[in-house]
Formats: sequence, C-alpha cells, structure tokens
Amino acid sequence: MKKRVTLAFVLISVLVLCLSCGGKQESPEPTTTSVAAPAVAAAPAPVVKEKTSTLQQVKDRGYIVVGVNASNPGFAYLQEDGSYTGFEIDLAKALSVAVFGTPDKLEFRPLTSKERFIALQSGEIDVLIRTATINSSRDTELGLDFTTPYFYDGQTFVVRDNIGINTMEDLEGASIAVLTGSTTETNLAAIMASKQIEYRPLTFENLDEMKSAFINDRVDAVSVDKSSAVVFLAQFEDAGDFKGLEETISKEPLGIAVRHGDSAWKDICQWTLFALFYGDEHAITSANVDEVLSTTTSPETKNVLGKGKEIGAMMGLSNDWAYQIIKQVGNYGEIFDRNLGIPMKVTRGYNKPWNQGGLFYANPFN
Amino acid sequence: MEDGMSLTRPNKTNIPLWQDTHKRQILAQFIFAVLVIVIVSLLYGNIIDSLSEIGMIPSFRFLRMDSNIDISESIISVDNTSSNLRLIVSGFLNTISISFLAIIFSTILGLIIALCRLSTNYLINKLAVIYIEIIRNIPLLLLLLIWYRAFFLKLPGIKEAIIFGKTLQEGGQTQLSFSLSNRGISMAWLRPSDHFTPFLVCMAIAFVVAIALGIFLKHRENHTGKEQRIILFPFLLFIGLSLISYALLPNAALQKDIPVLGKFNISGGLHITAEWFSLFSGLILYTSAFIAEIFRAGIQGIPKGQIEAARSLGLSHMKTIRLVIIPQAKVVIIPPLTSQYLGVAKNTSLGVAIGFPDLFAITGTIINQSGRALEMIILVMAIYLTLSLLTSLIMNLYNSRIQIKER
Repeated sequence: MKKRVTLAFVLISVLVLCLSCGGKQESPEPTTTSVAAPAVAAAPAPVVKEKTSTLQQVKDRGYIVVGVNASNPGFAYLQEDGSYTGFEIDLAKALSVAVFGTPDKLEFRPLTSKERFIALQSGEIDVLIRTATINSSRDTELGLDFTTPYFYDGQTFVVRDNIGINTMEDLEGASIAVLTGSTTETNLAAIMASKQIEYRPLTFENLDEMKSAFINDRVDAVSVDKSSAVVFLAQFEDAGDFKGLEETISKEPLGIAVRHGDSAWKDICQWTLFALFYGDEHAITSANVDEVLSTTTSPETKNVLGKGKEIGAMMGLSNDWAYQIIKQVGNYGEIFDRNLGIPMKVTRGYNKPWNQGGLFYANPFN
Repeated sequence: MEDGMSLTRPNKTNIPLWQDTHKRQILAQFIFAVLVIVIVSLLYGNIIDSLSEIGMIPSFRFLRMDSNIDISESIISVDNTSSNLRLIVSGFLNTISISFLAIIFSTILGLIIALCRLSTNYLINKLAVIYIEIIRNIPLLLLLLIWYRAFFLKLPGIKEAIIFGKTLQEGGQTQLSFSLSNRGISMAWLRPSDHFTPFLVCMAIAFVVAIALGIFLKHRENHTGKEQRIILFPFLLFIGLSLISYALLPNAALQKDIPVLGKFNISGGLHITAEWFSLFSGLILYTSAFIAEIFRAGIQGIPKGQIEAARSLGLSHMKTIRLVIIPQAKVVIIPPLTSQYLGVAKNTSLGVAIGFPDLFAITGTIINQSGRALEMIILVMAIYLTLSLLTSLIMNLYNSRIQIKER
C-alpha cells in the first residue's frame, strides 16, 4: 500500500517537474523527442505527426472523418436508421464530392460542443463542421483555422409568451439556461454584465436536459442562436406558448474549422464553400448545371465547372470537382432550403449571395 | 582483527550481484524508476512536439486570464471577469462542500438502514433489504437523472410554489419564510451582521473554558476512579456561555435574512438550488445503501460469544454495544468505509449531467473556452488525487489508532 502511494507520488512529481521545466523553454531536447515519436505511437496521447498533408491522409484512408453534432435538427441530426441528415451534413457531402467524386466517403464523429476542438487538435477528425463560431481566440489560441462563414447567425432568447418579456431588460432577475462550452455562454455573461442586468445562469452540457428544464419552468429563458431558436420552437408541440425575442445580442458567424498549419486542406474546404456560393450567385442548380455547362459563355463559370483553367488540379482534386458538387449536392441555396428553409421555416436573412442583399461573396475563380 | 576482515570480506564480495537479494531489489527498483522517467519524458516530449506544431505551447498562463463565463452557484463571489483560477477554486469548494455534507448524511442514513436490516421485525428488515438491493443496482448517473428530471423538475413552478409564512410588506414586497418549487428551496436564515466579531471572541473564550472543564473532569475521573460526564458538561457549558454572551452583547451578532418574492425568482434568504439538492440527495441515497452493508458486515462479523460474554459479565445492553460491539466492529468497518468516502468525492463529478457546477463541470468549460486541455486535465487529476489522498490519509490515521493492538 505504502509503496504504491509513493510510486504514485513519484509519477506525478516527475510529470509536474517535466511540465514546469517545459513551460519556460521550447521542447527541451529535440533529439530524444524525435526518437520518441515512433516508440510511443501506440500510447494514449494521439500523435499528430503531420508530415503528410491532411489531403494525402484522407486520400490514403479513403474517407473523410468529419466532426458533427448528432442532435441539432436542421443542421446535423442522427436519424433512427443511423444515418445523418441536415445542412452541415450536406456541406460535408460537398467536401466528399470535391475530394472523391462521390458524396458518401464520409465518417461522422458525433461530438459535444465541449469535445469538438480537442478532437480536431488531436487529429481524431479531419474537419469540424459543427456550428462553430469563428472568433479571434479560437483562431489563434486553439490552434485552428477557419474558412469564411457558411452561416451568419446571432444569439437571442427563447421565453414563454405569456409572462410579458419583450426585451432583454425584462429579464432582470430571471433564471436563464445556456449550453456550456459555447460562445453563447460567454456572450450571455458579457452582455448581461455590460447592461448590468442581474440574472441567474444555469448551464447544461446536453440539449435534452436544457429543454426539459425549460419546459418544466425551471428557467424563465433559454439563450440560443436564432437559427437554433427556430428549430428549438419547431420541436415543441405547444410552440405557440413560446417565442423568440427580436433582439440579437451577438454576431455568430459559423465556419468550417481545420487544424492550423495545413493550408492546402483549408483551401479545399474554403473553395468548396465558394463553389456552393457561386452556384447560388449565378443560379446554377443541380437541375440546370448540365445546361449551363453547355451554353455558358462566361469564362469564370467555365473555370468553376472545369472547362477553363485547371483549378481543381492545382488543389490536388479532379478538374470537374465543383461541377460534381453542384450536380450531386446542389448549390448553397438548394442545401439551405432542403434542410432549413422548407422543413424548419428558417428565413435566409443574411445568408444570401451579395447580389441578392446577403453577405455571401464567392471570391473570383480565376 | 585481520582475521575477522579476511573472514567476512571474501564472503561479501564473492556473492555475485544477481544473487544478492538485497542489491537485486535495489537494482530492480532503480531500473523501474528509470523506465518510468524515460517513458513519461518521452510521452511528454511527444505531446510538446505535436502541440507546438499547431502553435500551442503548454503553459499555465491562461489561469490568470478572465474566464468570461458566469456560473450558477458558488460559495465565493465570481462573475465573468474573475480569473480562470478563481473559477476552479469555486468549483473545488462546491465539490468539497457537497461531498463533505453527503458523507456525513449518508453515514447517518447508512447506519439507520443497517440497523433496520439487522432488525428482527420482518417488515422493517425486508424494507431495508429492498432499498439496499434496488439502489445498489442502479447506476448513479441514472439515479441522478431520474431524481432530477422526474422528481425535482416536476415540482410546482415558481408561480405555484409551495409557500409558508407569506406576509405582505408596506413597500409591496412579499416576504416569506419557506418556499419549495422546482427552482429549489428558499428559507429564512440567520446571517452574521456587522457586529459579529465580538460574539465570535466570546464564543472562543467559551470554547477554551469548556475545554478546561473537560480536562479538569478527566483529571478527576483518573484521580477518584468515579465516572464523570466528560463530554456532556463542557458541551452544555459552551452552549450556555455562548447564549448568555449573545444576549448580553449590545448589538445583535446575527440578523434575519428573509426571502423576498421577485418577478421571476425568490431572492434573499438561504437558497438551495434544485440541482444542488438533486445531486446531494442522489449521492446520499446511493452511498447510504453501500454504507449500510458495510456497517452490517462489521456488526455481524462479531462472534456471538463476545456478546454473551459481555452479558455474563453483567454489562447492560447499551454498554455491550458501546464497549464491546462498536470497538470491534470499527476495525472491520473503517477500511471499506474509506473507499466509499473516496467514491463520494469522485461521484460529485456526475453533477455535470444535471447542471451543477462542480470542479469537473467548471474545468470542462474552461477547457473548451481556453482550449488548454492538457494543462487542465493535469490540474484536475492533481486536485482529485490530492483530495483522495487527503481523505485516505485521515481515514488511515484513524484506522491505525483503532486497530486492535495484539500483544
């Protein structure tokens, strides 16, 4: 017994010692560590040896591992038959089409908002498409890279309809539930502090627990993103008793996240999005893409659809990658309507191309 | 002299290293220690390599940064400008306070159930058996979720709360003395006022006087051989002196804190949230079933002859329990009880499922907000290890004190 305790102490103290030394200098002995890597490859800490690029890894493996949500209807949802459906799932499918030419070379990894970034940092997933808000600290401190937003969201409150809450100021003294590990949590704390509104927070890790606390009147309001608010309301049978507030308390640009330092892989994610935006901008849909391809005179459209410059080849993809994306998955507008617009009644808002009054702007394909 | 040297020396040097048990053991320990250090440093180097590749060199600097989050309950005051470290401390306090209370109450409940289980009354006995068997076979997480969602959340909402002692004040405020709803329990409470320090001093003096009386009584007992009430009299003296000083002091040391009904919530008074109470009661229910069985094992482990011997010596029923059963049962009970106590402290981490901000829940949030997974996990491991070793140390000290000394 005593021996074991001593041993545990030795282990811990060694660990702490190593850490306290290492904090000040950069990796202490490069010679030993380079030897170390293969020796402990099977050890618990996942090894992120990125000598080969993510694209090469993905191609060797034959499928992309995507971090998603499993319980966010409309965005990403695990169905009873074990398949995933939703807006973000279709984005992943577009990525699969870009790399492999078919939309089914995907493995989905359901993650909570707490786990998601660690899974990406440690190399467990190749790409994270899980309502991740882009902000400076995540971009820098967390060792991540983001594409431009694929969805412009904003945070609001869902409340009971009959208790006279119309603005945020009415929430003085109320209990408010948020999901832990999200920007929602920090935004709420910041805005309430700045407006000097006293409130009682209650944080949940799981959406189901939060919902049941709200339905049972444990909390007076739930703070969620606007898109989620619509989906949240659509799930209640007596949705008429609840409403979302008009106020938006934050900007929530959602982007695709990849590991920092692999710009080739990030390019693929980014230009896949741009291809989807381009289709939306120029009304190229899965239905008319063949017709457009044969009749178009625009050099840029030709570039996009693989008849002009060899953009795909430069990224390590086939040349008709964007054509295949639009053909097989559809453009941004189609994906939006299919998952959010028609079933969930989410309005497009800012999520429209620039030439229709929205914020999406596909950089030129030249 | 020379002879002696020549006799012993060759003997010692002639034994090869691999046949000398003592040296072999030292060598084995040494090799093992080196191995451990090498493996740990290799792992560490690997982690550092991988992390610095994505631009994250481990450091504990983030502990001093603002946390940017609010938490639902805390013993010390925290807000979104508090540092991450302060938040961890607050989570730690939540964890130890709830585990400390849960340990005390589950021991009491466990003892009661064990006594029921040992009862010869058929109904009481069988009820205790059913309780123990059901609770022990439900995972704690499930128990907590059922308890929280199916019981506490189904209590009446704040508008229909069960309220006692409701009085309407002049300012239009509604005061109350007790309320129960799915937000939790609120009740009138006494809090230290601004004049608390003099009372504290008086209490300290009363305590010293009481201890002195205790020592005096013990001394007299040793001297005269007559049994004295060593615990009861000093205790009564302490209570009496404290009450007298409270009454005599010019300013009241304690003030009433009465809950007030607000628009959404009840403010003021002592507020116990539904989450805290769910976790607390869930832990007690769960742990007491195990503790009851430990107590039963300890008591039933005593040979019947011991009790018969005590009876034949003329000891009363209470004295038999106090002087014969308990001292022997304690020896059997303490080691498994220690493991149960350790389990309680670790089980509080399940509070994350029902929205209770314990140490684990808060560190999880900080990991997510700061991205410092490695550092935080090491920190949490160190904290839980310290907590467990401390509990273990206290219980082991107690255990070695009560062990039967065989001479």
